Order: sequence, then structure tokens, then C-alpha cells
Amino acid sequence: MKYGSLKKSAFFLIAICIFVFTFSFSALGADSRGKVSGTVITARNDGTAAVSGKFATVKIYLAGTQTLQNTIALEGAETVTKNIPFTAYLDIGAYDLYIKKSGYLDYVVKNISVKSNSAIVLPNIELIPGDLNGDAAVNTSDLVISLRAFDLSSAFDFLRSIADVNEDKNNTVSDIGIIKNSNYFGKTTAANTTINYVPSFDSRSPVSLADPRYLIDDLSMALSGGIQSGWDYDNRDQIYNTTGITTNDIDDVSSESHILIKRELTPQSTGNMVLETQMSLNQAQSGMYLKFCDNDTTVFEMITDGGFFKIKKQIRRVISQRGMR
Amino acid sequence: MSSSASYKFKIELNLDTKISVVNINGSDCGIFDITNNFAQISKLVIGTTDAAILTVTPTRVSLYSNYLVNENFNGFNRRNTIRLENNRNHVDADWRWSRQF
Repeated sequence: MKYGSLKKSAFFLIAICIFVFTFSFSALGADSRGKVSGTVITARNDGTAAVSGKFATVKIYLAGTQTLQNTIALEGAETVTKNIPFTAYLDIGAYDLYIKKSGYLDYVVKNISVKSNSAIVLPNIELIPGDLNGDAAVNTSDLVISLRAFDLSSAFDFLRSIADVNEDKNNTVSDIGIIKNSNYFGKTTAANTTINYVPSFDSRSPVSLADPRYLIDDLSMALSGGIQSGWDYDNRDQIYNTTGITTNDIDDVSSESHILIKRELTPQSTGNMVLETQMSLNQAQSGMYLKFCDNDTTVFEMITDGGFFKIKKQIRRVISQRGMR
Repeated sequence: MSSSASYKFKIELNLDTKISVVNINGSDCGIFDITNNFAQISKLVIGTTDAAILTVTPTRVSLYSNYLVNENFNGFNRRNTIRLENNRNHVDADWRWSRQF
């Protein structure tokens, strides 16, 4: 009886150890993952919905093996753009990426080395259409299939779908034209769409130093004339509120309307942007925000909420975080 | 955060890797993804929500592009001296204090 009880305790202890070890290990793994992202470009016209059965996928294998680690669906019935961005979060290691789409040559990116917290941005991946029979080459056999699709009845919808290269739901000379395009015809997966990934220094995209410049350089906002003139000051719903006009204090005195200051920038699409700002916040545990926008699209937004600074929801994933919610 | 205080923010956006680095009052707050779905950044907005009643007083706003090091050690009215003592208050913004040479 005593022996049985001892055996039970030992078993329980081992189970706890396994649980703790597994939990710790997985938590460690989550912290050390890196990001791989890129954009896949198809031959479909922008505005044309992707065809079911031909949705593109990214399959991620351990480098040099057939050990599948992850599959990312790139398209769905709602996909109407020819350019499709993707992001994968991977543990430290080396991987091969296979981008597959029915009717296209596979695109293979080999030996992507993922390091802790690295952010790898692949060059644009332009898929080559026309491999209708899946033999890893765009050649006369594919042209023949495309020509025959003209005469096929609806009983052969699958083949007609494969031959519908531009995914306009019709088999026309446009599809044949794409296959015959010299950019695609004669190409093979082995020669044209298999590349070895060459990392840039530190796995980051190089930052351009060609055109460093200030976009805003307001060392003092506290002018006697109020907020600096480069800023648009919008307090239109608080018409009797003149704060911000004579000083740099912006008082939101209404619980029904907002106030904002906005600065239009020379648009930036690449490189590094750094904002350094200092501001006093009064009673701002919730309800203040600072955001960068692309016209009306919010790209980055920090808010105060319940006494904490938070990065708002459009941020898809926290890579690492210290003392911030 | 305190309900009423002065804060220094340094927010770095890498538009190529779509990553942001946030630093508040010299403390590293982490690395965050920014949304993928944008072509460019054309606007900076600081504001309040409809429900909020509060005061924001910006005293300095600098935004620059592609400067890797841009520091004059005077920016936030701190003393620009670095002394060999255990005092972290004499270096600017997000510089790391180290005596481990």
C-alpha cells in the first residue's frame, strides 16, 4: 500500500516536471521566433476574384527536407488583388519556401535562415503562369491544353479552370497569349523560379542613407502664437474652446467631441522613420492617441487606455514587449 | 503611467521590415509589427477620443528619416555630461548606460 502511494507521488512529480519543462520550452520558443514576409504576384488582373481550386499557398519545409512546418493560404474567394502579401513566424532554423498555385510554376526560395527576432523581407515573388499540366515547365504541351479548353464542355470544368490563366472565368485567347508571352514560355522551375536566399546584413533590409532629412523639426511647440503653423488644429466641435490657439496646451473639455493636431508629411514609403517627441499629459489615463497614417489608413497607433500606453489593434503581433500592454 | 506627467517618446518605424520600436522615457517598451497594408506614411496625428476630457501639451516634435545616429545630448534639457558614477540621469533618451567596458 505504501509502495503504491509512493509510486503515485513519483508519477505525479514526474508529470509536473514534464509540464513545467514543456511550458518553459514553448514559451522560450515563442520569444525567439523570427518573421519572414514577402509579396506574391500573380498574373490575375486586379479586381478579378481568385478561382476556387487554384488558390495559392506557401508551404514551408525544413531546409533540404520534405518536413512540412507550415502551410499558409494566400488566397480565398474574396481575394481580388494580384499582389498578395504574406507573413510567417518561424522558430530559429533554416527553411525552404514553396509558393504553389495551380497553373503556375512552383516558386522555391531555399535556405532562408531565421534568427531570433529577425525580420526577413523577401524580394517580390513573381509567379510564372502557364504550367497547366504541372510538369514544372511552360511549354507546347501547356499551349495545347489551353487551346483544347476552348472546345471542352462544362463537364470538364476543372480543366477549363486550370486553363483560365488570368482567372476571368473564361477560356479565351488572352489565356493563350499569357502562356505564349516570352517572359513565361520556355521557363522551368529548376532554371527560373528556384533561388537561394541571400541574406542582407543582420537579416534586415538595408536602410537608405541617400536622402536623410528632417520631416518635422519643431524643437519648441510653445510659441506665443500657439501650436506651430505647420500643424492643422482641429477643434471644430468645441467652438468656444480656444486652447491651442494662444498656447501649446490642447484641452479637450468635452466628453462628446475630440480634438486633434495633424501634420501632413512628405510621404515616406521606405527606410527608417524616427519620431522623438516630448509632451505633458494631464488626466490622460485614457483617450489620448498618437498615430501615423497613410491618408485615412492607420499604420501605427499608440493610445492611452486604463492608465497604460498601448499599441492599438491594427498591429497584428507583438514581437517582443517590455512593460507595455 | 501617471495621470499627469511629462513623457518622452521615441518611436522608430522601419517601413521596409514593417516593424516599430517604442521607447518611453528612455525605457525600451518593445518591438511591434506595423500594419502591412499601406503604401506610405503621409500624416502624423495627435489627438483625443470623443469621450476623453484631458490636456495634451506637446513641447517638442522631431521626425526624421534615415538618420542612424542623431543626438545632440541636449534635446531634453538634461545635462550633457556623462560621469563615472552610478547615475543614469545624465544621458539622453534611449542611450544605454554602461560601465562594463
